Amino acid sequence: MKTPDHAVRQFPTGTKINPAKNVIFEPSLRIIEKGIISRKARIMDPNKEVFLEQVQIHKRIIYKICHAYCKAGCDIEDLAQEIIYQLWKSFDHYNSNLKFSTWMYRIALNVAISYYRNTKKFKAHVNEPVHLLELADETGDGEAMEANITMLQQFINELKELDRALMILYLEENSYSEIADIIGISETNVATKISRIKEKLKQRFNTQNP
Amino acid sequence: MEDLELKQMWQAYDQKLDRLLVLNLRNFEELQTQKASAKINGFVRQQLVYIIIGVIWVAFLAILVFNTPGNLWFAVSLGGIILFSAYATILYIRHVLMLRQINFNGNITETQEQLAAVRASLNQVGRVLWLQTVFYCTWFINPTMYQNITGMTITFGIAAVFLAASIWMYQALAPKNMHRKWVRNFETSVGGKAIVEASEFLQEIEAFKQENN
Repeated sequence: MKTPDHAVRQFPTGTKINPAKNVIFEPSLRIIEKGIISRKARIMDPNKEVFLEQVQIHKRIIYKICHAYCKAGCDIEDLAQEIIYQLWKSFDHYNSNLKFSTWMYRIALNVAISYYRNTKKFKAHVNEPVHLLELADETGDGEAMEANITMLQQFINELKELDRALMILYLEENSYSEIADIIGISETNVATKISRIKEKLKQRFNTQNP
Repeated sequence: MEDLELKQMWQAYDQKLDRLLVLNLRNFEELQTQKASAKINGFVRQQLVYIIIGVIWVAFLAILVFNTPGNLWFAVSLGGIILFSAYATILYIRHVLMLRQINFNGNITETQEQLAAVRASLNQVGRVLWLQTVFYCTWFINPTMYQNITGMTITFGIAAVFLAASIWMYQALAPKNMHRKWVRNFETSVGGKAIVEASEFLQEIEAFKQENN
C-alpha cells in the first residue's frame, strides 16, 4: 500500500513516543496477509489520497474536538476513528464550494456530539485497536502555560455540548458568519452566546488564578 | 484574563499538537475494513430487532384469528392488538428510514435535532401500545358467558378501567409532559432513559436557537 510522504511523521528532538503504542503497522499487515483487503483496495485511489491529505492537514482540529467531547474514561482514539470514518463516508458528497474545514467541522462536531450523548453505540463497533491518532509525550513545556491549557480544556469540557462547539469554533479563529453557518443559528445569536461564554470562562479563570 | 489571552492559550495548545500529534493514516485501510463490517449501529440494530419481533407477533396473532372462526370477541380483540402492534412496527421501520436520511453534513442544530427527534419519537410507540391493553381484557369473552351477569359486569368493569387508564397514560406520556418528574421517572424505569435525554436535548436545542437565551 502506497502511503503519502506527508503521513510519515518526523519527531523533533526532545520528544518521546510511547513505546507501548508504537506498534502501528502490525494490525494492518496482519489483515493484508490474511487477504481481507483486496489487492485492488490496497492501491491508493486519487480521491482517497486527497481525502487523507486533508485529514492530515486538519488532524489537530479532529483531536481538539475529540478531546472536548470525550467523557471521563472515554477513548479519544475511538471517537477520532468514528469522525475520520464518517468524513470518508461523506467525502463523495463534499461540495467544493464549501471550505473543507467548514465541511469537516460540521461532520466532526455532529459525530462528536452524538458520540458524547451515546458513547456505547460507537464503542460496540470497534473490533481491535487501530491506533490512528497518537499524542507523543513531551518534556520541557512551560509549566504555567501547560496548566493554563489544561484549565481551558477543562472549562470548555464543562460547557453544554452546543456551547462547547461554539467556543471551539470561536477559538479556532472562525468568523461569526462561518460559525453561524456551521452551527445553524444567526450571526447575532453567535455573537451574543460567545460573549456570554467568554465572560463565564474569564470568571472561571479569575476564580482559579486570582 | 483578556480575550487575547484565551486565544493565545488555544494557539499554544494548537502548537503543542502540531509538534506532538501523530496521525497514522497507514492504518486507515484497516479502519475502513472494521467499520464496514460493523455497518449497523446499536440503535438501528435495536430497531431491527423490534421490527422482527413485531412482524412475528402480528403474524402469530393473525394466524390465531384465522384459525379461530366464529368468535367475534376473540377476532375483534386480536384485531385491535394486531392494529396497534402493526402501527408500532411501522413506527420502528420509520425510525430506521429516518436515521438513514440524516445527513451529518448538515448544520449542527438541525442534524442534532433530527437525531434527537428520532429517539424521542420512540415515546410515541410506547404511548400507542398502552392503548391496546383493553383488548387483553376482552379476547376471552364468548357467548356462553353472557348468562353470567356478574362475571360479565366484572369483565366489562375491568375493561373500562383499563380503557380509561390507557387513554390517561397515552395523554400523560405526551412529549409536552416530559418536564414532569414522574413522567421522566416512569420513562426511565421502563427503559426509556434515551427518550427522556433526547426530549431534554430537543428542548435544549430549541432554547439554544432562541436569540434571547
